[in-house]
Amino acid sequence: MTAPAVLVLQLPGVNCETETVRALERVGLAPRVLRWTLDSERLRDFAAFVLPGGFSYQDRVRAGALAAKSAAVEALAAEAERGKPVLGICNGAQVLVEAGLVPGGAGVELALARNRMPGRAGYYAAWIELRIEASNCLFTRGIQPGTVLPMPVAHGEGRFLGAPGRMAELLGAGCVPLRYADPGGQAATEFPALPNGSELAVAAVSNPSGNVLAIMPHPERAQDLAGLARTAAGPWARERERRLLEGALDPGDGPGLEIFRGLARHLGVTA
Amino acid sequence: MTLLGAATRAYTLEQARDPGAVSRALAARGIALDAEEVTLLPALLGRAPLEAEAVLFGILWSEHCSYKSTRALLRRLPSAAPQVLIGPGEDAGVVALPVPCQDLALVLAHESHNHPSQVLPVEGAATGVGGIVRDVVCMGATVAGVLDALRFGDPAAAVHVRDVIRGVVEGIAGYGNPLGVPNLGGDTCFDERFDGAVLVNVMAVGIAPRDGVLRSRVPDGAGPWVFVLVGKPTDDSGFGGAAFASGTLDHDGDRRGAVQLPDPFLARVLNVANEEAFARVRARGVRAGLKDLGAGGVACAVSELAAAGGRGAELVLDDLHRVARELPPEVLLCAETQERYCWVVPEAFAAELCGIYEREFALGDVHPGAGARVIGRATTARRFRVTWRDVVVVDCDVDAITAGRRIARPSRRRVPAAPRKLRRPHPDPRGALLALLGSVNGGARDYLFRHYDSEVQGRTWLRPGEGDAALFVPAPGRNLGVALAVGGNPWWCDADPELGARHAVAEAARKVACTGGRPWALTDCLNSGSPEDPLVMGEFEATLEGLAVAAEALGGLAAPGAALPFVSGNVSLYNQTGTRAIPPSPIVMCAGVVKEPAAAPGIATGEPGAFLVLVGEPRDTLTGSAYVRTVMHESLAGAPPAIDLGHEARLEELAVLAAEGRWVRAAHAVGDGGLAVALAEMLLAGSGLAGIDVDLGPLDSALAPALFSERPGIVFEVRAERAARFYHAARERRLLAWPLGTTVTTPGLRIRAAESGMLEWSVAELRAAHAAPLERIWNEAVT
Repeated sequence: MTAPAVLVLQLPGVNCETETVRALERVGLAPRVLRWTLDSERLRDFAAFVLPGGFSYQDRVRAGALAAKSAAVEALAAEAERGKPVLGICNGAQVLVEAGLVPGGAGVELALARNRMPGRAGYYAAWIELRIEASNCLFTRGIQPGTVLPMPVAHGEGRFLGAPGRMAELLGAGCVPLRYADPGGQAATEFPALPNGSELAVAAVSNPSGNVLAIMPHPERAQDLAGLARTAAGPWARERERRLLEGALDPGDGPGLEIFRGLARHLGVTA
Repeated sequence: MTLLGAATRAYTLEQARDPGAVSRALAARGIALDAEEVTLLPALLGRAPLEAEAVLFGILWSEHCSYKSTRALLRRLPSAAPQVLIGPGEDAGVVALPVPCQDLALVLAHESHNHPSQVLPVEGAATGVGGIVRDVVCMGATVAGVLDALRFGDPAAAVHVRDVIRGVVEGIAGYGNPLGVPNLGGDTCFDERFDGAVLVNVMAVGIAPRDGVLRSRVPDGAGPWVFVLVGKPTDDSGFGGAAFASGTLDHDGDRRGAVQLPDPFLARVLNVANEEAFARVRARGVRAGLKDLGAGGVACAVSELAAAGGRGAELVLDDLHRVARELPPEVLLCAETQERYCWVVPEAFAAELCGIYEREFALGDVHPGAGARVIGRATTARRFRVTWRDVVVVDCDVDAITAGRRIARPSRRRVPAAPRKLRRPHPDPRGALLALLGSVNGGARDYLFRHYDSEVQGRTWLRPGEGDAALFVPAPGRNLGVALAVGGNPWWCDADPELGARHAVAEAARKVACTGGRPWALTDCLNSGSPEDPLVMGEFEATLEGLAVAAEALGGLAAPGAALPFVSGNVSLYNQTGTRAIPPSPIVMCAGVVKEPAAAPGIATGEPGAFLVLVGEPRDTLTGSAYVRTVMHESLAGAPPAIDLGHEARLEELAVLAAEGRWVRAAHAVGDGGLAVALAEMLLAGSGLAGIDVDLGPLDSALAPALFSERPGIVFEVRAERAARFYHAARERRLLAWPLGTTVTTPGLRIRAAESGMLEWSVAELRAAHAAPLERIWNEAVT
């Protein structure tokens, strides 16, 4: 079969197109970068969509707010409605939240508020660990709940916020596929394992049908095992060392690739 | 009708008879021509200068643009080696990469943005990043990383010093993060001598197709060639910036207007549009030149493009896209509005090129008034002629513009400091290590790095703090890495400028070698005080001598027998307030080629059971050390330790072989704070779940120098099953290798010595001490 076409939407100010394209290619998909000035009709030609990270529209008003109102994202919402997969990473996640595509169905329900961190404020970039939760999300389907994936975060507004009780409800409903984890693999409660103060350590939210995922950490930056942060311990670090001693020359598949592999599996690509 | 006579003259020939008075009158209007230059300019033009001409030459002859005090001396630096494609002289240097990236070139640039960052820290640092990125982009490259070397004042001194620190970090993050260029680290020092004169050096690295490097010149051939200005609409921001950067910081008046204004959002879209233009130019075989707009704005960019191509230029200021308010022609010509580039392309291609920026990327939607316009044409006559509303405002020989200016400055060498001998008893070594880790110069840089996006583009494999050098892969999927590190110890360069400069080169190269990088090319920025002070010039000459001697000795891992070439650099003078100059502060960046990037050692120790081995010079002196400054509280720490450059070359070779052979998991150069700090840093850089057990017995040295000497050396974490190969290679290179201990499962750092018995530190107390100093600066509890 020909590789399914995936649109990487280049809104003005996004800056993670290249590595997102590379991750998609590595799992057997055919990514294409198109600019915000594209004809919305063309969205029909794609099997899935990715909103990459960056600073779309300069984060004016609120991160993601202007992009959510753009013609391209409105057209994308219609495609998501048809069940096509949509992945929003970092600023892309902020766009999906501002557009009400997650948790979905009831307008804009959540916000990504400013990070809350002891002794510091604003933008924060670091590697953290994520724990897979039981969910219906197609991007994490096939990964055992409780599995830990190390990955970087890099944002100033990543604290998921909803009406009282709403985040717990989403978690119970299987709409929180990833949470920040502490070194023991449990949901994190403290900085720096919890990098932004997100309620219930929520790192990503999906819609009930599981085809739209808003994820604050950057899986595309964790696609090379050789590039794994040196602070990471556990099975991924051990696998890196094992390959190294074997003399492997290629970078190896990193933990972030798992998220893209979920998409590929859903679209019928077998690795 | 163009009438020369209709434009305003800056001064008459009559007035020029009192050049001092003219110079002062011009200075009051923001034009920087000294008395000698006031006489020189009419002689060069053959008539009295027009207003815009005086402004233009004031910029061209500024220290910032002309290097008039230092250019002749800079020839001392080696710049030739087989891998060099373009050496110093353009906006950036270019070196070839080896197989499997032989079709790619590495582009390197290094600049300072010291004066602006002192006056407006956020904007100054941000536009510093913007400027250095443009220097690399205009070679046709994709920028793959920026680094910064920062010399701050003492944070305990005054709130304005802390404001500068916080502002500079905010500026670097605020520009680099949206731009989508990873921050690959650099270094940071704090000393009271930078209280009123911060140093913000910025470096950028890019990747270009080897046969697609663009030059900043009108190409050969008939053309006809036109100049296309792209980016932000010209305004009056940064007007006078070059002159500002060429004076001391203590003159009267508010100089904030001379600092440029940044817009990283526009810069990002502009960069993506540039990539499209590069692709189009290459695919179609269009010959083109490109230059970024920096000091001197449109005037310098266009005249330099023309002169470098052996042409002249005719420029019509009316055609510039600009802000709505009325601006005089000299401002349109010389303002340093950010986020602009100037292309020179065949006239037939100009419409398509403008279309990329104006329509396909809709720059006008991104920033009001931004776009692309044809603003002039290249001429065979070698004249630079500028008109504004049909009046000629500049008309001179192109060669007059590029001829530059030289000033011979008297210099006087001072006697370097002597090595320091300590006579007082040493304090408790356990507390000494915690004091060093808890000092502002020894504290963790992590707090600062967390402000920066260091892995956008998804190809950073060693982030700042993870390795002695940062590492990225220029072409993901191909087995090659590039390592980057910075060197320059301000206290050592102060005590002995020549020896300090040798160490600066060696330090940068050694850090690169620790990550498995073969030192491949250098860049530098020489930060100093006023060149009018003979002692400053003496320090400058000594610095160049030290840099050159070290570079000549350390190029062998790239090309046997060749020097390690300086391919790009910058000089920043007048870093002083009143008579108080900064210490001579050369800052050196080394780029290295990593043949086995997947095996690049970081500094973090890993699984238990590996050997810790120190390789280097004997631990027999504390001179120049952070221990003397910080723990013994001696303000004059004495000369830097000696360095044997032949030994250094062999040490770096061992580090590279050890990495490429996968014999070592971690490698960390012994730097500020000596062996004890190096071991603590190796422990803290990891997961914190393991420990280090070390015995100093093999060093056969007194306790304090064993722990804290800063003589050159590297601590390796050697994989037990490959230790024999490691020791053999060290012996072959006549290197002393001391087996000190092992990594263990019990967390913590334990050091045994005959003098002290067992010293032990928990991970938690080391981490708390290490993290505190920088965190305090951001939380205003500085003591």
